Amino acid sequence: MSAAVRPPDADVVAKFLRNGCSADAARVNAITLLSGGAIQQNWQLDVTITSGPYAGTHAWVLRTDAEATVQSSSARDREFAVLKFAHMHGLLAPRPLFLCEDTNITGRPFFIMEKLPGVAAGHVVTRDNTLVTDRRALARQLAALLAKIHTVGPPVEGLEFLQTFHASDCIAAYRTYLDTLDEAHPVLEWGLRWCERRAPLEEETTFIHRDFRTGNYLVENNTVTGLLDWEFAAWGNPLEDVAWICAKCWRFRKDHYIVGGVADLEDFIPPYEAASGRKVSMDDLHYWQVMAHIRWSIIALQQAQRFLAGGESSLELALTGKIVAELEWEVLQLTEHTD
Amino acid sequence: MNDRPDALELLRIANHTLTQEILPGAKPDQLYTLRMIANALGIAARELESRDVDIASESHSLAALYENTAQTGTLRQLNQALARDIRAGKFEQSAGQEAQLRQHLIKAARAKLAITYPKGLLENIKK
Repeated sequence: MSAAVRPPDADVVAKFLRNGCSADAARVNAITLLSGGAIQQNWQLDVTITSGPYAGTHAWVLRTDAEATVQSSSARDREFAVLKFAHMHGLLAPRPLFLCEDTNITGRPFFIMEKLPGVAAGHVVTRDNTLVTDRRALARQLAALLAKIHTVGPPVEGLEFLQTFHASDCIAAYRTYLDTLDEAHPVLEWGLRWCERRAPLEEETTFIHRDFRTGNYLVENNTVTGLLDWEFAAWGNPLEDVAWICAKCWRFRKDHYIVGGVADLEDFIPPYEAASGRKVSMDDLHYWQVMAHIRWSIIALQQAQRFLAGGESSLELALTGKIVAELEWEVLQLTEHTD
Repeated sequence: MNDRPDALELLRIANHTLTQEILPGAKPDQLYTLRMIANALGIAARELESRDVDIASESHSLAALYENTAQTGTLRQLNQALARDIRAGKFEQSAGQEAQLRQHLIKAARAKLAITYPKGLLENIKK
C-alpha cells in the first residue's frame, strides 16, 4: 500500500461510534486496510462497545472515499440507502450501521457496516480449490442471487435517486465521458458504434448491481456469503449484470472459466434462466459483453484521470490507465463479425 | 549527448534488479506493490523502445485510411477525426471501407497491447 494511505483516527472513530451506538464507551482495538479499493477505502474496525443495543465486540467496516477529492457526500449517502434496501431484501449486502456525512469527523463522508465473512479477492477465489470446491454449486448460488436482485423493479421508496441505464443510456454516457478527454479513443468509438447499431429494441428494467463479478462477492466454504460494492447500483437491463460477470476482464486470467474465472457458462446461465424466468440468448450475452469491456475501459480511463489530472499519486491508478489496451483488444475480438 | 546507459538500459537493469534481487525475498504484504512497480518499469521500457516505430506506423496507417480526403493533421488530430467519423458512421458506406478501418484499429491496438501486456497478443484475432 502506498504511504499516502492513512487510517482514520481511532479515537475520533471511537467517539463517533459511542454516540451512534448510544453506548457509555466504544473502543477501536485495531484498524486495518482491506484490499481492493481503488475508488473507495475499506477499513476493518475491531471494536468493543461497552453497553447499549450494540454491546459487544464486533468486526465492522468503515467505507470512505479513497482520497479527499471530488466525491460528493451524496455518493456515500446513496450507497448507504442502497445497502439498507439490499440488506433488508436478503440480497447478501452487508448490514449498514451508521452514516456520517459530517466531514469534520474524519475529513470525508463515510459509513460503517458489518463485516461479512468470506474471501472476495479475485486472484484467490479463482485459484483456491479449498475455497471453491464445487464450481457448479457456486455458480448456481451466484445465479440465484443475481436472479433475486433482478426480481426488484422500480419504483422503490427511498431509491428514487437511482439512474436508469438501458443500452442507449450506457452508450450516451460513455460517449459523453470520452468527449471530456484530450485523447481520442477510436477503438472504444468503434465498439460503441457497434453497440449502437445492434441496440435492443426492447429492454426490461430491473434493479441491477452493475458490479456483480468475481472480486465483489464473498466466498466461504464454497458458499456465497456476501455481495459488496453496491455504489454502481441502478435501474436497467438485467442482462448487463449477467454479461458483466462473464466478461473476460473479471476472470483474473483464468480464461477457460467464462463465468468470473470460476465456472462454465453452462453452470451459470441455465440456473439463472430457471430462477429468473428470463431467457438469455448467446447474442444477448455477446452484446452485453462488448458493452462490459467498453464500460470497464471508461472506468479505467476515469481512474487514470484521477492520477493524471486529479493529483492522486497512486501507482495503482496510474497502471489502471494501461489496462485499456487489453480491454480494447477484447472489444475488437468480440466485434469481429460486423454483421 | 547523455552518457550511456540510456533511459531504456536503465529501466531494464532497474527492473531486472527488482525482480531478481528484491522480489524473491520480499515480505508478502509488499509483493503486490513491488509487482506493480516491476510492471510499470516493464511497460515504460517497452513503450520507450518501440515508440518511434509505433508512431510512424500508426501515422502511416491513418494516412492511408484518409487517403483521397482533405483530412490532415498531427497523429492526435487524426485520431480525433477518426473517433468522430466512426461515431458518425462514416466508415459504413461499404464493407471494404469498414474492413480497412478494422484493420487499422487492430494494428494500432496490437501495438498498444505489445507494450502493456504482450502475453495478450497470443490470443490471435482472425482475419
